Amino acid sequence: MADLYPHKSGLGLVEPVALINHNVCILYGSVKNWRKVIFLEPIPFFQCLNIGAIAIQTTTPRTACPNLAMLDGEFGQFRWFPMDNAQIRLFLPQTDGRFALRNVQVPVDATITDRDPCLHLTEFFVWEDKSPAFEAMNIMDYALTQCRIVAGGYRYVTVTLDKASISKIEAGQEACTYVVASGNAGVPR
Amino acid sequence: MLGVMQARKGVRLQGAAVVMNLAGIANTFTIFQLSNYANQIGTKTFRIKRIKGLNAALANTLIHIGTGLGAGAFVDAMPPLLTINGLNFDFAEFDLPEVEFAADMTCYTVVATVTIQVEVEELG
Repeated sequence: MADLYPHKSGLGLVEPVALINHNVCILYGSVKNWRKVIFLEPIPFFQCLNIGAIAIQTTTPRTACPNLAMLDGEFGQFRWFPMDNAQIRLFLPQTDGRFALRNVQVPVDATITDRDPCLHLTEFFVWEDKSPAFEAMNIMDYALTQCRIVAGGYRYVTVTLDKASISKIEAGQEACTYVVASGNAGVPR
Repeated sequence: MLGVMQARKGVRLQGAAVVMNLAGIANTFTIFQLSNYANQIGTKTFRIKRIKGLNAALANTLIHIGTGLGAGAFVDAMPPLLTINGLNFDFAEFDLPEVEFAADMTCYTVVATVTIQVEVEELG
């Protein structure tokens, strides 16, 4: 049944959201990308972005993170944490905030490694080159000389699913994991 | 899990044993060089974990720990440390402020000669 979970962000160390030959549906905005995984490999934690110096009590522009971009037909699964004392908001793509509540977009700061040691609540997915952007707030009364973000997870190479398989998935006859790869502003009312 | 493995913990490294045989801010010595290879992935910083040394100055003296080389460039990163004539000194993590360095660490002594070596934890 695990394969039928609509979105997996499991507690514990990073685990692949899908394995080879698994069906996935990558949701990017309103587009459903039906794919089959043909290869995956781990991406060890690495410093993916240094937003740079931030003046006292200043918010940076949304800074793209091309180091987390994937090749065509690929998606990435990442967990992350900031190394420096800033509050970081994630945008995916650059116009859609992640971790959004009605009245606040929840930031991640360096306390996340204590509050959520396996970082599972920071997990996000990147579809192809639609990489995320990070916005950092220096909340302190002194300047930051750097603002570094560390991320790691998995890389998946996928191929297009045929229509018959898609029909079976939609009819509930074949398993598929749905992967959310963008923010969502909510349903218009 | 990441937190258990201390995700924000760095790599423990050491500087060379530096003999500060000249005194004053004009004679600043580099005691730890930050990793900054052009091809490395990410930006490194470090924190001091231990300062070990020997005061051979024939007088009690202050040593200044900071960044920058020479007068006008050197900036103290923490209060100066008093070392006692003829004795080893050993400041451990709990004696030192949690200063994070983003540049080479430098030092000078008010009276020469003092030998100094640092252990650091490099992050990034």
